[in-house]
Amino acid sequence: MLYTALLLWISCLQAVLGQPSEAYNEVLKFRPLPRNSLLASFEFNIVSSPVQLKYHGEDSRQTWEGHEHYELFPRVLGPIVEASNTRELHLRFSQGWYDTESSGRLPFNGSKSGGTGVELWAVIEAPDLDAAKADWVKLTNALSGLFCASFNFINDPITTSPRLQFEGKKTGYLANLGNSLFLLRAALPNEPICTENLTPMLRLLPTRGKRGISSLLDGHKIFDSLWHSMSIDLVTQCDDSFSNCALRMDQTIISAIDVIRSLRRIEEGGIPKPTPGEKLRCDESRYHDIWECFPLGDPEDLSYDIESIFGRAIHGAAFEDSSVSTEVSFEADPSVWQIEAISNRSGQEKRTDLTNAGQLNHISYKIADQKDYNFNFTTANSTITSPLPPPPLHAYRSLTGYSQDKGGIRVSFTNLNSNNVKFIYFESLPWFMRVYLSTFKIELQNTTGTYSVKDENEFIKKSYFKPAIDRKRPSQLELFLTVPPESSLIINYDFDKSLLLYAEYPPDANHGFDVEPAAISVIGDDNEIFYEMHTTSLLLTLPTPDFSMPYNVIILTCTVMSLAFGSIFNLLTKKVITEEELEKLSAEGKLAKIMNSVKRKLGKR
Amino acid sequence: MALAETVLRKVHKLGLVPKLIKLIPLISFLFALASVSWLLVLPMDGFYRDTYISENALMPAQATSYFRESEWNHVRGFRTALQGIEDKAIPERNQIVEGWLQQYGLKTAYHKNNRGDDTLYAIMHAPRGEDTEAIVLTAPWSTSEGSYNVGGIATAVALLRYFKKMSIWSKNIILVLPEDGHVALRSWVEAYHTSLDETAGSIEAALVIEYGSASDHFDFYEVVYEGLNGQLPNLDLMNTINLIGYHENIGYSIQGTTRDELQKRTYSTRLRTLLKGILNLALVGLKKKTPGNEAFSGWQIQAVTVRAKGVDGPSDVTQFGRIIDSTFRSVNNLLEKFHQSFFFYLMLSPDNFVSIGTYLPAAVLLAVAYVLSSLGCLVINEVQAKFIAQSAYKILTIFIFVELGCLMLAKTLPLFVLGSDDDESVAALILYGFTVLTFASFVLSIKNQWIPKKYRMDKSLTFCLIALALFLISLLLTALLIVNFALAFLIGLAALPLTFIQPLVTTSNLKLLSESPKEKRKDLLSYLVNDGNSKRLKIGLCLLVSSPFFIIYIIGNLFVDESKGALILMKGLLTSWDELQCWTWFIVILGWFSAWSTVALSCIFGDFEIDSVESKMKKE
Repeated sequence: MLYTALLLWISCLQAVLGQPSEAYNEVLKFRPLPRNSLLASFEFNIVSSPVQLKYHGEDSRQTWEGHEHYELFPRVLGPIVEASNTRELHLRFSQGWYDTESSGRLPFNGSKSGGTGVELWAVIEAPDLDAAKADWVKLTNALSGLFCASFNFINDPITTSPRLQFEGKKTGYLANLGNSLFLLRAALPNEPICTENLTPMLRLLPTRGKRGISSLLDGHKIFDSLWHSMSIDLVTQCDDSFSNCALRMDQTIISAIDVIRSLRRIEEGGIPKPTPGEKLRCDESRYHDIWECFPLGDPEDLSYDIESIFGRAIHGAAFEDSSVSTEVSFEADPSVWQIEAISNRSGQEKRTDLTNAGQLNHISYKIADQKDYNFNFTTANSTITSPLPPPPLHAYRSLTGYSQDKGGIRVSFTNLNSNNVKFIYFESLPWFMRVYLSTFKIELQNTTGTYSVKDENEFIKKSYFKPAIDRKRPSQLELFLTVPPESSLIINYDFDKSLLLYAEYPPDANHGFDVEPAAISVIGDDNEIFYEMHTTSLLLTLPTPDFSMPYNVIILTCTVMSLAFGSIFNLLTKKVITEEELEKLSAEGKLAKIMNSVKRKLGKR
Repeated sequence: MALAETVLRKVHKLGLVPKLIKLIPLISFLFALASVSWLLVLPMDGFYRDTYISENALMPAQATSYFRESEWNHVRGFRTALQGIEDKAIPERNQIVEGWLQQYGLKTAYHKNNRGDDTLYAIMHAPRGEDTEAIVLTAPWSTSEGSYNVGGIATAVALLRYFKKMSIWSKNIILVLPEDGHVALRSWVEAYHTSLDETAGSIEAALVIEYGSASDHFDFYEVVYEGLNGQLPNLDLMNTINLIGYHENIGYSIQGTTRDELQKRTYSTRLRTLLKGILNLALVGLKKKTPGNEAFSGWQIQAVTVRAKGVDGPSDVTQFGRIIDSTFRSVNNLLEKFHQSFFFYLMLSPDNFVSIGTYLPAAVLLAVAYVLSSLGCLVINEVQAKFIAQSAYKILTIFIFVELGCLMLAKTLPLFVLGSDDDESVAALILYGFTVLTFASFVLSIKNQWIPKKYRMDKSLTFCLIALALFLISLLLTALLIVNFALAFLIGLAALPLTFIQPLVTTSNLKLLSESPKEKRKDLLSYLVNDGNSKRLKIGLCLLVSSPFFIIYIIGNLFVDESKGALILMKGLLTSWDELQCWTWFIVILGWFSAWSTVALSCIFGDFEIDSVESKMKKE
């Protein structure tokens, strides 16, 4: 109550001050996928109040004044973006494996999901590249603290500026007309995504994960999925005169949940226990008795609600304010799926069947009150879903090669469609992979066989390669490729593995080194990117020393040195004499005299 | 330093050096003896170590495996279904099993190997995983003993279904169903690293399972761990499986330990395990019926074969599954690749091992024996350095000629076998060819007076060649002893009779003859000729016994197969490079056989004192 009162007060204040209000809306989309999984995508859109585009150079740092007014737009993010002159910011946190073969295209046509790990790119306004890099460091360090991620490890050796992908694309607005815009990109493929990354995401929302669809976001449930992806896209939007600008932030959290496993977790916990005899689901067409059972696959008749999957219900609309919309939508085949909305306020349950309303695949439901909302899915045949179209392209990337000192990369692009597919392949490889473009080979594979391609220009329309500099920058490969219908294009190239310096190995050196996923942007007939995807990341083994070896080497070296010193010193300090002289001298020596006297005495007795 | 000087002066004064030079053959033999006794000492208490888990992240047998109770029903269900399709061809069986795997949510794919028995494999992508690492479970359709791997495949399918239900995996799991553990599996592993589209990251560990009976129970399980070219899986993986078996209370066996020996930990069992281990490691990949784990050698994959033994006994099939489940859980815990524990070791029993530092001196001693013998060959016969410098081109020409001949054989002979339809008889033909060659050299070295005088090499050249050959073997041993101790040691031991040839040849007969009084000369001469003949026979026997092809017969018939062992080994040698990338053939033919041929040539064409004595006798 206090919360709503506060909001009311704020909107009153806003009316008094006469500022245009910020905009916020949230949508939650559910889509049952084949194999009893459920795709849940949470979308949050926030538009800030107008901002004055300013360039904060090194000299103007003193005079910087913060952004004046934050209401819905996160107060933590605004100043960071402004201080680092960031005009666009894109962040991706993804993990897991999305089965595009059975589930079809990635949600949002892949535009909201990155490759495994963390991916960050930003458009920064600066007079030159060095200034842009300085701002980039400022930005990544600030984001690192904000998102509990290792963005502070982003440095020059992993930062790239993609060319082809953004060629000719209007990317932002300038505050100073003398400046230009720089696109910088980096990825951290080995960053584990976990709940500590989700909490900051929720903190950016005006509802703070307490109200509206964000109240469903429990880290334990979201991350116990087959695949999940979180994204932030922050862009500067201006009108034509550039005088009226605002920041627009789109946040999405997408998760592909294994429904059967989520339900079983409630009963059995994370590790599946043996099934009691009466619950065994056996193939009736085969022999079965109390000892023997040929198990069936997952059940097809299902009934589940989102409360059992997410552990809680939706706590009403985001705001009681009608201007803010909280929408839940469903994409399911109404002939087999029945979806019910269950609203609950202090024990009074009300069920509404949503599927009866319209016989369309798409069902949209708006939440306007502060009741608890739960949604129930019932189906007789969960294999029938409202499918996403298959992706325009399948890409497989893997490491080849046998030895510790060199290796190769093989990328295969498969086009199952009946028309050409054009796309841009972007790959950034760490400097310790020394790529040899001379070994670059293309093969074409179709139903009739595999052919090596002589004229590469037949399939590569444009290419850009920036070789790596040791410890300074990664190598960057961008290709504009075309794959003919119903065939595969296979790219192969070799690289050498560099030896790292002793101190450059991470603490878990024997884990291997992650190579970031390659990004693929499929281009449609209108020359616009219509689908984005990533390959999996790769784990590269470098020659790794046994880290106790340096001590052995030190000890051995010391021994050799002392031996050498001893014998040389011996030679230098001694006089060289003949053997006869030595015998004569030793007979006259003190020791010999004593020995002789002892001998004599013994001999006497 | 002063002490060393004093000692050296004493040695010089007493004239020990010439005495020692005379004793070189004996010293060399003593080194060889020391080498063997070193190995015999290793199984004694106090010389070996107990196994332990070095990588703490593994935590073997710490997680409770729930592959029990209802899973038993499932394994039985799959087994009955598999028994029903035993008569079908492999592509048909694959198709049926593929349907099951897809039903349980796995991605399936084929490796097309153009031999009509495409290998089916299924990938379980780890939920929330990074998709960069994988563990492989392999169940060949037929076991290495040739039986239908019905229990293995049923367990594997049930396990994958069970794994799929868990979200704890950090590594992908791949199930491979090759025709057998030989070429079919090796070509899959190779394709995985070169040409397959559907991959699941770098493979950290691989388990090949064999459960060749349809029985619910088995007696104990055996682990086979030898990899190609001397590679072994990390000792941590071995220990993990051992420890899990211990917690499951199942007998654990290595190197063909029998049921009765499982609990015995005596000197003789340890020694037997050690020697069997060395022999098996040296013969890896040469037998057609391979257990499958060696197919994963290379690419830094740790692989073992787990084989259920016996059809009745205290252990049940779900326990077999639990061993695999627990091992997978342990490997899944790893953040880094296997790197903590030993990669080179010899097992004495499942719980005892010797590491490379402890057993290596055995091979080093053997290599030293060859170097000494090679040196002795030159020093005892007073081959002048000047002579070596002058006739270096001659020595090298002969040697390079022999080596080139061997290279040609090494390259072409496998082609004959691989290119022919009846590879067995071609291999047999090659083996007989080499056998005839060996016997010919045996006969000719005994009857070397048949060789006309003009084709004879002079004495110094002969000894130079023998010295070079012996030195080559010692080089071979030194190069090989770390990477493939077993093969180095076996070759070193088998070729040892070659070092006896020089002392047999060198006798100061002529000196003896010239010093003897005239009246006794006749008796002495006839004695020397008799002695010479017996020496020739000994030389011939030394040659025969140290020939690689003689050893192939011995090892093949004693340890591989009673009747066809030699043939199996020969075929294995000829085909293992192309099929498995096992380089034993090249070592045998380019190292051992070339050295042997050089010695044989010098024995046949060499000019020895025995001959001079005979010619003298003829004159008188």
